[in-house]
Amino acid sequence: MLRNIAWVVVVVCAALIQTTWPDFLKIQGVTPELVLMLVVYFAIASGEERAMFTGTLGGIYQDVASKVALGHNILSLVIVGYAVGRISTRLVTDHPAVKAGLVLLAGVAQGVLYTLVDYLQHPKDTLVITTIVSVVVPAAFYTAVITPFVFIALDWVFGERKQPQGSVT
Amino acid sequence: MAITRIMAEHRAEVILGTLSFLSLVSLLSGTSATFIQRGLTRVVSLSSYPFLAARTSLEEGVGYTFDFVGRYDDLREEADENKLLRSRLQTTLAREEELAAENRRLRDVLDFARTEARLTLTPVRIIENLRGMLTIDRGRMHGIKPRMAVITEDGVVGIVTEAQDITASVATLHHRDCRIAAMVHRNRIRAYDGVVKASPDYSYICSMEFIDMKNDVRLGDLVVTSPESNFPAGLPVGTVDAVRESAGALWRWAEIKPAVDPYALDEALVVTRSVPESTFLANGVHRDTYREATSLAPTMPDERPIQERLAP
Repeated sequence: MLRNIAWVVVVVCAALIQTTWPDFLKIQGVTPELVLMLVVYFAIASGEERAMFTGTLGGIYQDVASKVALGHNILSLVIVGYAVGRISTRLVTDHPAVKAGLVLLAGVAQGVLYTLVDYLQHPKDTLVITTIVSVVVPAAFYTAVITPFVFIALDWVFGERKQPQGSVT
Repeated sequence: MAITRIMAEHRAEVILGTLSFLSLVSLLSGTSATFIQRGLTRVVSLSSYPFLAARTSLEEGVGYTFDFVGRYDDLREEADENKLLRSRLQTTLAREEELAAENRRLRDVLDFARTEARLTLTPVRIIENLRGMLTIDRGRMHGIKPRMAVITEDGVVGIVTEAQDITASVATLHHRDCRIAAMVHRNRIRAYDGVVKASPDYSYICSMEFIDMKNDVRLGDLVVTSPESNFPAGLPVGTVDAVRESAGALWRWAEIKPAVDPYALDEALVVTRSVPESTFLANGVHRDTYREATSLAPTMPDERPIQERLAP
């Protein structure tokens, strides 16, 4: 129960920080994706279900705060959460660089999905390639860089994480 | 049963599909203005308020800190400028206070000159003060002559001993060249020689010597100029500070504390003409009745040692 409450608090706080303090977190015009980082963390630590719900909760906050149609962030985060959860079952190492790499890939994937959804909604206003190159990739890189520190903090909050379900053959 | 089992086996995929489906529906229907959106907006806005407030406070704090550090040189320059302005202000205030004090003194001098209508007074400024000898900024060209009296509204200052073209020297009661005919105001007692003069050995400032042993002179008695002096009669010379006598001596002497401190003097008045009190009261001011303000006191024997008298 406490773990679930802590999960809600952490996800809501991350979404609020990302939506209310974008300038504070911004470096060279790039903002880290804190909610995505949580999605990846819970995908690795608790599996794809927790990751998808994390994406849903965080996505709702982001969609509402950014005043876009509901589901915009939710869809991309849920898909990424499921994919990372599936991939994480194959991970056989806890090395921070691997997790950072996973966050980098997830960030790019989420950014591409978001941009595509945006393009489908507003085809005339969205520059897909430009957005991916100038926003999505730098944001994913920035998120990946700070991942080890955030994961250490999350490990401290949520304790011992679940053992990976994969096996070495 | 088969559907339930399949859903249980592929729970994650079911959740994914459900959430994706709902998201797509929401996106396609554009639920931005729905009741859910409004409720969520309210929840988000309420829960985000503390974060926004904290962000504002943090930004202000960080901005203040950066300003303080970044503008340190500017603040230092302002502090230096403030120091300079403060010193200028202090100088200006001191000058204003000095002017105010001078204004008060001149008003007092003016009031005194108005009340002493029987005297023709020339205001002078003290330009040098050395060992009881004053130099004033008026001389022969301005009608100043030796033996003229120099006074203030407080009393006697001294006597003009030498007049140059544009300056003159004034011997005060602190200088041995100054001798002023004086008497005790209370009972008009005079000394045998009738004068108050500077102390020869500077053990005290000035004295009234040769006082008869029978005469009543007390501490605090006011000593004023006598009618036979070249000063207007009744001007304060000083107060009796001590009365002394030696065993077997025929005379007593009194130490006099002068009424005017010449070392704290900036302006004074030279009495160039005076009208005798009785004539003034009887006839008013007439030019014919003026007399030169010279001493009527008898010439006293020279008390200087012979070496000093004959020295070149």
